[in-house]
Amino acid sequence: MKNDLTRLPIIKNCAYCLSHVPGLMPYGSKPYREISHNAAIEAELNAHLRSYEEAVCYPPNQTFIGNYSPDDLAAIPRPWFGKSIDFAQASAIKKGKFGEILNQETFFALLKLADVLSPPLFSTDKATLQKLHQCLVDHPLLNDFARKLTVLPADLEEPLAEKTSPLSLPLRVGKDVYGTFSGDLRSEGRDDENLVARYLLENLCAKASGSLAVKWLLHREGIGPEQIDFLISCGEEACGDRYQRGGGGMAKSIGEMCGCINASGMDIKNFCAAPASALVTASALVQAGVFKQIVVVGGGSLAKLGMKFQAFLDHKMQILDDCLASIAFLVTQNDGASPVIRLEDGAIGKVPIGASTSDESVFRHYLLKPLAALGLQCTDVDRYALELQNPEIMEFAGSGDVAKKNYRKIAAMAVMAKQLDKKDMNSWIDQVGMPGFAPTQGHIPSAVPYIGHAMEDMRRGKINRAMFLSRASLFLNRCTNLLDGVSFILERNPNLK
Amino acid sequence: MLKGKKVIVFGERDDISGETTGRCLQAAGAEIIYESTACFV
Amino acid sequence: MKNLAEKYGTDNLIIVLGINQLSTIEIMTQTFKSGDPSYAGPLAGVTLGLDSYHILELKEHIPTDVWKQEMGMYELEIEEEVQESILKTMKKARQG
Repeated sequence: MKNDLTRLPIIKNCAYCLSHVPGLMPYGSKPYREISHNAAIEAELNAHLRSYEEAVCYPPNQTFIGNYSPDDLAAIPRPWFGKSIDFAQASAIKKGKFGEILNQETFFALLKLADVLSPPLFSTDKATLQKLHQCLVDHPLLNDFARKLTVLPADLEEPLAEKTSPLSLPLRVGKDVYGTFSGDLRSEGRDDENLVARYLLENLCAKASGSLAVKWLLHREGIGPEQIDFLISCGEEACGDRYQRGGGGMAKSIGEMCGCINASGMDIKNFCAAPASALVTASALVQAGVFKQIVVVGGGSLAKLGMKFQAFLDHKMQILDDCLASIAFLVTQNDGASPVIRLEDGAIGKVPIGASTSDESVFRHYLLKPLAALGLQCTDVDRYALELQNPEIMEFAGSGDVAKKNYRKIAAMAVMAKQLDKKDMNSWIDQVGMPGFAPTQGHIPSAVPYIGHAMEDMRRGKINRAMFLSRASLFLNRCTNLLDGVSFILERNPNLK
Repeated sequence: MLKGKKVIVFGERDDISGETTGRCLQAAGAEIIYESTACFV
Repeated sequence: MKNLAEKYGTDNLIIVLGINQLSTIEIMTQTFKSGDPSYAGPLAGVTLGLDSYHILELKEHIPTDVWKQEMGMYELEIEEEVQESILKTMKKARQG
């Protein structure tokens, strides 16, 4: 089977969405903790939020949804933030090739829809429900959802909360309270610290944003949800109660919301490398003939919203990590046109448990070895995608340009493997690398934001081969000191003219 | 210079990990009393 | 940090950093030497007098074969100007 690329599975389509939710930033992990210590921070935070139009026109966000290529972004001089914007233009570019940047009101409509509990977690009043319903009606892709959002539960009597308490979180658009989000206050949920408002909100945000990405994926592919036979979720949320904190079920929750009635699903957990692990697993399932049309979906991370807010306040800037990001990919059998996932023996990179966690060891295992398995060198890959966090967010936060650092690592490894000269490191990085452009949403920026652009570049014959390398900080689970590394190679379909 | 010294190590995943730093110091005879690797992403 | 300093005493105790961001290592080095420069946090006003080093400064003290295996790639990947800046920043921050 080696080198018969026409029999390998493909990534057939992709979708990338952002949901601009500044009103939810106080419920991100870092802002919530800081506001708990010092209530005055909330007002300061709220005074440094971007408008929807500013978030739409922000070049890295436009790159994420596919209106700019990474090379287009690289040609735009920094700083990318704070440029004057044309409000009319924002309306034209809020939708991109790969997806859209959704406004907060419509996101709340999705969130309300995602809430299946009775009594609801997301309580609202009649007038607001009408508004949310109208958002869905007005949205060309979401209006089939609208009819599900018409009936208000009969037992809703309480006024909407204005103040945040652990039991109820006001959901605001600007100064307007659209509803209250509570924990599971039924007898089965009341004393369970895993079912408090913030965690359930985190999970529903992943479900709502993930569903948006899946809707876009199905729309771009022109197929109905009933044609999907399996979904794999790759987010970092933990769904479950006191007896099974991380039980899962997010894939099927998203599938249910999107109408994938013939599909089953499962959640893959691998920290930031979960999207890569999920794509590898999906490919293997397709290759083995177990399933035919698999959706890999990653919902956004509420916990990471506003993670770097302090750095922006210190610089008296607007807070740039104000969006939930969501991604979806369609993995199927070879169609003679779409990029092929190299699944041959040894071509999927891994970092074994017994390997040292030094850079040299990690990169030898998940960069050099898979290439060698295919008889390739580092210089045989046209573009690489590693950590693609937006450098404007990372640099203000004091972490430096994470994307660039990772390119330096593969260049260093190539030099050590005598596949590249030391003096050519920087020029090679310019050739194979790209600026980061994804928001700091954990699993989202890890290599996969480039897949859509790679598909475009392959379609146009600009590149033949792209390699995706994803690292996971497993040590954050406090059970190990290990890292994980997962890599895969996408190749232009040989049958594509 | 490092022999017999007690060391607190702070590493970062995308810079130099605490583990790698710690191994170098241990090889030089130092004793690691605290080690952490931050993940800033 | 305070607890560790109290438990082990400060005589033979040093800090070694694998962090390459200049602003971060500057603040950390100053904090462990003479207290938190922002005057906030548990080390505000607390002078531990501990010296911090970056692992790149300690090359000559590490056995050569271990250095080559563990740090060889880092020496390549971190730009020379960045390495120089790290060494300079650490020396200056230690002087307080």
